[in-house]
Amino acid sequence: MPTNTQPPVARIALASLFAALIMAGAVIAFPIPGGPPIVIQNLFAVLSGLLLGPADGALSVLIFLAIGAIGFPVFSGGRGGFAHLAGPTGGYLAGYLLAAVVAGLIARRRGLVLSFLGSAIGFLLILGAGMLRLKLLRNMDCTKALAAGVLPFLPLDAVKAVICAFVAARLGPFADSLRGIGTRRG
Amino acid sequence: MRDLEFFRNVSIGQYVDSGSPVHRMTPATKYLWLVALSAPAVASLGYAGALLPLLSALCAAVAAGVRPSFLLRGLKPILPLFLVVAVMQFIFGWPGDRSAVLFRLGPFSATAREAHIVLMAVARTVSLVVIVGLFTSTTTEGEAAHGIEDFLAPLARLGFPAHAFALAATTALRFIPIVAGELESIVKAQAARGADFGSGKGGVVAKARAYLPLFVPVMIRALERAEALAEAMEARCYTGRGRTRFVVYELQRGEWVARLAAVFLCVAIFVLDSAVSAPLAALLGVFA
Repeated sequence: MPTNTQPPVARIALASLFAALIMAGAVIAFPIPGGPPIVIQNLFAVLSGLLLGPADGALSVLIFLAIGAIGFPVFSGGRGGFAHLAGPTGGYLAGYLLAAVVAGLIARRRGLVLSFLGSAIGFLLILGAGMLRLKLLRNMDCTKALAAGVLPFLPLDAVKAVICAFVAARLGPFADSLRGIGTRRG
Repeated sequence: MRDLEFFRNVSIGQYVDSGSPVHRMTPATKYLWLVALSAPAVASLGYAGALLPLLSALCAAVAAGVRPSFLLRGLKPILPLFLVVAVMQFIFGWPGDRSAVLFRLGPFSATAREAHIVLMAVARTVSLVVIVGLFTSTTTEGEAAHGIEDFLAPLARLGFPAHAFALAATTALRFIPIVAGELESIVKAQAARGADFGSGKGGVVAKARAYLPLFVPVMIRALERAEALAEAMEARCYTGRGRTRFVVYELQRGEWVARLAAVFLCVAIFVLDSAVSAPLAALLGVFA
């Protein structure tokens, strides 16, 4: 008797949709000289956790990372390949996975406050992971890594966190109904 | 409206269809070569281990009918990164670094050890870019996704949804132009109504609110696309179990030889690297 480990089709479709959103976000990247670029991909990564929950959110980020790692240009600014994953900005990419899981766990129950808490902590985790990687790779001390890897992004990421929270609060029930949680739309 | 057409020139992948025997190999073999050449490029001790995979990849590219210059072109976007790494090493010193000083500039100095670190980083990155470029230029998106499934097959026995993962990866690649098109059409629609993105004044919340008319419709349209896809698949009784593929990959002649060669090459590079790296380093005086 084969066990059915296959998730429902709607969940696969949603996970692939968010992977595509994260990848399409690669086109929109504004470079900062000497540091990681400003991207929109982290917004979609956090949103995937908020809307799809920890497991499916992680799945979409994993798909994005896997497709990027084997060389398709889906990382920020149209880059790709394993070298990018192992490079100085790889910490942020690992942070996406962490953020999707944690944001998904926090925002299990719908609502603006929990959504905001989840997305804020998600963005902080991305920045934290990115900073750690920068610190390790470039032999920086904490204040320098903070100045290069976190501070330039804080204002914009705060805006993104609020956007994520609003979008998640507005569309959470819709996403849940698609995933077969709660009332199914007729 | 030129600024709004983000996605006109986006192409994912860089497949070069030369129809060579390398192209016709099964995805599993290509993944094996990808891993076998990447591993020493990432984890080697010295220059030999970082550069031999590059040499092997360039030879394989010639065999596959892919021009090496085409692969090396992939280096262009990361050249500034090399400069950043070099400048960082120049500015920040390593504690306890007693290697020879190559040159000084004001309070900063470049030592042999720092030069070694920069050169190794460049060698590793160049190797990886060419290896990955070779993979993507000989493998289509569909093959790559099917290959992921084959590669994850052992994990499927442990309960990992390998088939779902591969399906979602394939679908995601198909979704990219659709999602991009939706985003573009909504940005245009909002701009036509006089929307102004990015220059909004006020606090964080006010700025975020300005973007909501962009994100909520994009997300709704995208979610509806996913819903339509799921319904279409359910209507066709998709279950994911016992599913066959439209394209069946057949082992080419000599493909097992190619697989064994990949493993052999990987081991040989590691062995050679560990044998050569210490004398080479001593010769260059890196750790002196």
